[in-house]
Amino acid sequence: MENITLRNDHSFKSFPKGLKFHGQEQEEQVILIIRSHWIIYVPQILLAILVLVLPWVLGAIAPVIFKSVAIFLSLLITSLLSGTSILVSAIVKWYYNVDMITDQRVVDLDFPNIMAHTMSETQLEHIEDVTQKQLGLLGSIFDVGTVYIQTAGSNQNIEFTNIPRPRDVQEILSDLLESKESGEI
Amino acid sequence: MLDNLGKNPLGGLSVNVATILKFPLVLILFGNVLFAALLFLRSRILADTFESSSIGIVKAIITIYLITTIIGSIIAVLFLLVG
Repeated sequence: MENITLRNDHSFKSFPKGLKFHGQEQEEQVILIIRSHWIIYVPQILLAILVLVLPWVLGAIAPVIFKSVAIFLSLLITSLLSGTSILVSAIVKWYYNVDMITDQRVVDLDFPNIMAHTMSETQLEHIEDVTQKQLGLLGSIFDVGTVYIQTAGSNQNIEFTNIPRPRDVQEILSDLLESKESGEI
Repeated sequence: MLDNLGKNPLGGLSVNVATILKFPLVLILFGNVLFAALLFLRSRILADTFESSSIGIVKAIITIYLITTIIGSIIAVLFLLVG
């Protein structure tokens, strides 16, 4: 587990400082915080760029738009605001789609869209199996994958979707489970 | 009747592209403001659920985004009314 502090970045941070989450115990220590890999948000960034250049594309198709300055400026502001909306929504999604591993449990906070968010958690002792899956070319190039945490009984299974370094996460979780079983933590 | 054969029956009807563009633009601007407001409210709920050292930056981005969207939309609608 010592090596996880070596390659920390914004999407994969060990022993983060100043972190709090709902339901955290007083002595509970967050070991790892993981967010989705930035590559997942590339389509949204490309869409934002497309929206930003849309006024000129529309102007090329229908030059009449350029004739009215007021209409063109309005179109320009609309495309700027829409592009910004896409970018800000991507930043907020990245920030609040967060997975955490503490010394007591794993927590998965999902923010799929503006109307909903879900928070699921399971205690370490309820974890039965940890599987990681890397799919496709991008998964291999950028080391992105999904970690599936299977829990006992009726507890909800947890998925850490599109995270960086899924093998490291699996290893850390396995080490933690061993430590928990042996009574070290 | 034969005199009207060469005339365009829609001769008096002219379609202005700029006028057609106004309605969807207003809808998109309204949607943007609604989205910004919802994002602001949702982020306030999520801030109670999860908080890290960089939450100040995220809160500032969302607040600036909401203010910019409201002001920008008002200016855009004014331009549409003038145009």
